[in-house]
Amino acid sequence: MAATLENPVSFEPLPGEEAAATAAGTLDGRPPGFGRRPPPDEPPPAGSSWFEQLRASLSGEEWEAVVGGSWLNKLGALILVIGLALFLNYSYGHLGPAGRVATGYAVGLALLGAGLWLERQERYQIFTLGLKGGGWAALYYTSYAVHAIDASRLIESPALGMLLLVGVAAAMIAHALQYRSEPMACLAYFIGYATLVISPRSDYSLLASLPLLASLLIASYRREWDQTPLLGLILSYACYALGYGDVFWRPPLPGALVSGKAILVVHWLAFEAFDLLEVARGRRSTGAARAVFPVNAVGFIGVALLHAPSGDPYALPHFLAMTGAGYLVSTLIRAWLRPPAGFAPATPILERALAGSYEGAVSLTTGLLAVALWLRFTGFRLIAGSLLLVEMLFVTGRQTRQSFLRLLGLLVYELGALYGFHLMVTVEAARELFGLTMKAWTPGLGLLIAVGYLDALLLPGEPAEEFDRQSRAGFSVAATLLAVLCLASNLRGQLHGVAWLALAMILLEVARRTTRPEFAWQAYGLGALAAGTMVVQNLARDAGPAAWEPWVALGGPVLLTGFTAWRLRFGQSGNLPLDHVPPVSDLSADVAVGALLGLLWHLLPPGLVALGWGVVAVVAGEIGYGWGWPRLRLHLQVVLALTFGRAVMANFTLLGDTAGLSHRVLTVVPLLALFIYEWLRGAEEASASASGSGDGDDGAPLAGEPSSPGQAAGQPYPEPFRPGGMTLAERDWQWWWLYPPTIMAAMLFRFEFGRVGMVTGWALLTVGLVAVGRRARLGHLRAQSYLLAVMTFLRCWGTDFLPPSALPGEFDPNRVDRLLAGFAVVLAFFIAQFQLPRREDPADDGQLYPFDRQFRSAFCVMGALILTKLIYHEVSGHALSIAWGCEAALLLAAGFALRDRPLRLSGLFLLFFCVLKLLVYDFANLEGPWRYLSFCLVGALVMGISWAYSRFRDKLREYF
Amino acid sequence: MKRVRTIGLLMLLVLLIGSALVVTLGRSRPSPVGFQAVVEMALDAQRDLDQVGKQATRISEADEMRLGEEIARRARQWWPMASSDLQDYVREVGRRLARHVRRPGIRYTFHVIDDGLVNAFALPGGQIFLMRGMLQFVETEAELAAVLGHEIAHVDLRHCIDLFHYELLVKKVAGAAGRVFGGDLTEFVIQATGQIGVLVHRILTMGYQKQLEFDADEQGWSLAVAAGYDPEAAMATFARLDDQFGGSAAPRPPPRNPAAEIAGAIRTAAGSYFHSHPPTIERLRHLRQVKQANAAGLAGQRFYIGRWNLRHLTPRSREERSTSDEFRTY
Repeated sequence: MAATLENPVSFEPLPGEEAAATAAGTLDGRPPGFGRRPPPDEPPPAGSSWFEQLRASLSGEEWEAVVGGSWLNKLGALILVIGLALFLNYSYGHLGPAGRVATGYAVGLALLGAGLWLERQERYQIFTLGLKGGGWAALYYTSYAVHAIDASRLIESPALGMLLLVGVAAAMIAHALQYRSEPMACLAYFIGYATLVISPRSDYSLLASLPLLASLLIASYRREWDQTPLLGLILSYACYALGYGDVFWRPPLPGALVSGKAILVVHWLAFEAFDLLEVARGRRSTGAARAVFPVNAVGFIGVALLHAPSGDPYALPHFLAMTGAGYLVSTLIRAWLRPPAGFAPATPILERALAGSYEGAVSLTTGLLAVALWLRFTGFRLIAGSLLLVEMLFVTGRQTRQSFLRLLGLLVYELGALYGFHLMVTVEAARELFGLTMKAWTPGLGLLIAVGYLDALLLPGEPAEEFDRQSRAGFSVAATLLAVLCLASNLRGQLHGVAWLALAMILLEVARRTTRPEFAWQAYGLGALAAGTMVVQNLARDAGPAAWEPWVALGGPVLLTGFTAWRLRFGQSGNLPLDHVPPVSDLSADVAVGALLGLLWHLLPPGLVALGWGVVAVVAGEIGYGWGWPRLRLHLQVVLALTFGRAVMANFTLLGDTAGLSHRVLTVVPLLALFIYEWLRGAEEASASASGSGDGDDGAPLAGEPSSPGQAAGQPYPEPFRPGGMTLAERDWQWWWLYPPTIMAAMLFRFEFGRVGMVTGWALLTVGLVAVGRRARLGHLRAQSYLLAVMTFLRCWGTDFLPPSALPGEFDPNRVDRLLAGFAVVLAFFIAQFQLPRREDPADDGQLYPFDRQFRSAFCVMGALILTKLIYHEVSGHALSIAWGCEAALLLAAGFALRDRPLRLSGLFLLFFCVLKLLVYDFANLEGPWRYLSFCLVGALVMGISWAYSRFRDKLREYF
Repeated sequence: MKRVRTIGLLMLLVLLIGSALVVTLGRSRPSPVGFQAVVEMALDAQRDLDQVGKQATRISEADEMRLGEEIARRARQWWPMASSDLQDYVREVGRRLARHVRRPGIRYTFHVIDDGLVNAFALPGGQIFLMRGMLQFVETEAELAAVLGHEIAHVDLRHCIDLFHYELLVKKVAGAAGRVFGGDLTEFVIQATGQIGVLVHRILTMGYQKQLEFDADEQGWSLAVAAGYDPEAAMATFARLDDQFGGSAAPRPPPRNPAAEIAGAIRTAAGSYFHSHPPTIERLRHLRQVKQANAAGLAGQRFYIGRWNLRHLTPRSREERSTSDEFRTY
């Protein structure tokens, strides 16, 4: 490690280079002891930083010597040369040009001579550096002034002037080489460049920089200096930046012979050549040497850009393109000099680039060409140009197996994609192409998208080389984003979902067929976006004016996602990870069914939507059962629930009729059949499943699933995805299918026959439910019948079978209907009563619903009460007690005949009530024959009943 | 078994698809989509339960008439009464209708308020009030009969007394409690608690007030028809009311997406709960359905219109015109 005040920065040599450098002399290539200050008395501790070392060295007495002996010496030489330059230009007028030149040479030689004389003594080693450097600078500038500066011009011929300058430079170089002193050379070159800056510019001043440059580079190359070329590089471009930059774009003076552009290009070429020579020689590890290439590029391009003219739109792009071409040549040479194979595979790109590999140059080439394209072209031409560059890089990278080139291609592609996004946002114009109206930028973006996907597919799949994974993702993601936005801009909102879904399906297919997992993730994300958009645009926004739009917007997704779901479930899952297949298949099926329901909503009249959904439910159910697809069975449940909801919303308020049959009946009855069928179907499947494995899994492997236990140890499909019969959970929830038919039937009666007239239907439904529930041992049906019976009773009690339009007297056209309805309800209740068991039935397998026995009595009581009230309304007046007495007798007789205690008790209670009415009300209010007739008839009935009880007392015990 | 199932499946599909085709081929009318069916079912059940309590604690007709007379007395003090010829005419027409009511024990009294408002209302116990504006609005005696029939129906179907039912009950219970347990505080506490209960009950039963209007329309129509008046008169009155007072807003276009349909259904269901009267267009539609349901009973009968009678404020009972334009035969 070297650390001096002149070169305070330490550099770590590359492995292998240290030994070579040590063999040549020192690590920095300088002769031992030259240009170094004596070692300090107490060296700074090892391992401390250069700053700490500097501070430690400055903390003693020596700092004063350093400042006074070295720094002031160089500063003084610099000031002296500047003073000389000013002297030659402007100083006292009584000296002629010859006098000025002579003075300059005298000063230069004096400084040089003093330096040479003093260098013999060791203590003045540092001091003499400034003297010698200043002397050479003075000689150089004076030689320059001999021709270039009017005030001191002795030589008119530019060629002669230049020869003189070259001679001085050559002498200076020779002297520097003789001493092998890089600091001295640096100082000399610095002074030389400074003189150029402060001099008036001319052809000659431009040309003067060339010998300076040549001497610097030759000396550096010969002596293997690494700081001198960097300094020269910086000084050259700084010189141009400060005083000569604009000559790049125009001649320095009117009628100038020398092109500034050519001179700057020569500089650039010289430094580039120097760097290439260094590369050819084997790059050293020092930072300064590594910096030549990037600083040369930055300097050259920066100086050019600094004074770029604004009037000519093509000047800059052409310059950048030409520079890019130049660097392309450099790239090729570097690739030849330092082939990528020469580096260890794990060497970082930056390390390789700094070591002189082609990556830096090709990156620069690419950047320059890309910027040139951006500045030169717009619209489709820019996209095409960018893509051309992309493909050049991509194809070259593919042919040479250089993933870095492919990555560069990706970067240019991303720039093109950004431009594509910019176009989408800013350009509204449309154009016609092949009869289709589209946004003006669509063809260009289409090309971008196609190239992006093509390159992503041409890149090798997994396992991928370095950068290729990122490149694949970059190409495909950018192409997908472009495609998504392109479709969104060109299509109506309602069609976004289907278009994106189609794209997602293609991406998924690519992922399935190839080993490119990024396509799968894009497909998932895009699919989710498409599904969400489809829902928002088609189910929460109005459909477009064209009749075909719902077909495309929703029918398309049905086919696409349905096919995907089916394919993933029953086809080959290809290269998709096994744990991806179930959720993707299931979610695709969800989208397919959802879109189908939405499509039917749009296509069918409101009253028929439930029927359409019902068909969907049937089909889903049959597939779910037949093919052992649990998700479809779940869809069956969900769609049935939706169908029920839809029917409730739309079908009971449906108006219209066909051939005398109301549309309510025509639409609700099939739905009733649907629910009943599905319940029966489910019961059959549940029975089959229960008799099978019991967990709804037949254990058969799915397509693509590992069949052997060893294979399956990795990624078996999750349980719900496996084919098989109904699971326990499905069986547990099957009961709910029994409720919609009853609710719909009850509602159908309500809306078909009105609030009052429907009671007959409800009563008959009650009987039916009790009967089926009892025979099929379905407690849910019996529970429904009880609830319905209570509701029927309340309705009968509240309305007395009288619709609002019914009036007593002559205008009562519905009286017969009313009576029939009343008797039907009463009869239905009594029939329902006898459907239920008198006591717990051992054959009922313990499944008897807890309310069964209570409702056996409740049916009887409700029937008796309704009959009593019906009689009250119809026979209201004098004969009411007789009528009620007859009713009680009938109930008792039936109770005896049917051996039914609730009937008998109902009769008895009514009889007691009748007697009470006779004694309390009739006795006071009835008049004439009705009073004694009532008493006599009711009394006779009571007597008869009493006889019956006495006669059949023994039997009663058996009846109970 | 599988074969049976396959046949069942095919039959089901044929039924579903066949029904859809049959409905498509038939006469369809624009039908509402929403929660009306559910709301109506719920309100039906609520009304049934409410009836159980009301029937168990029924107010006698005498009490009802007392209450009605008391309120009517105050109403007469508040509003100016129209001339006696108008009062007489309306009374005559009303009495003809009241012959057919279900509760003959109620004595009906008819009042004409001297106000240009087109309105009518009923109070418990058979107190029927008609504004002069309504009398000027109707064009025939049959239309007047339809309006009076509607108000009579409110009384006959106990809609009016039901509004005061629990209030009267609370008053009675509080009075009785005060007498039994002594002290005004007991009576006050019971009455205050009861009034809160009445208020809660009114809010809860607010939903089916519209249904009561439909019922009153239906029975009012029956009363007018039973009295021999033109069955079309009620519909003509409602149609003209709808025209002149904009009872029904322009029909909304059907929703064109499912979300809008659901949102509309929720909005309609929530809003309709607090409407005391249904839109006139719905009442008109309901009356047409009632007439269609009773078409068999109307067939072959002749009904009176009474355009001349109204113009001359001469009730039909006094003079029945025999010209053809005063009758409608079915």
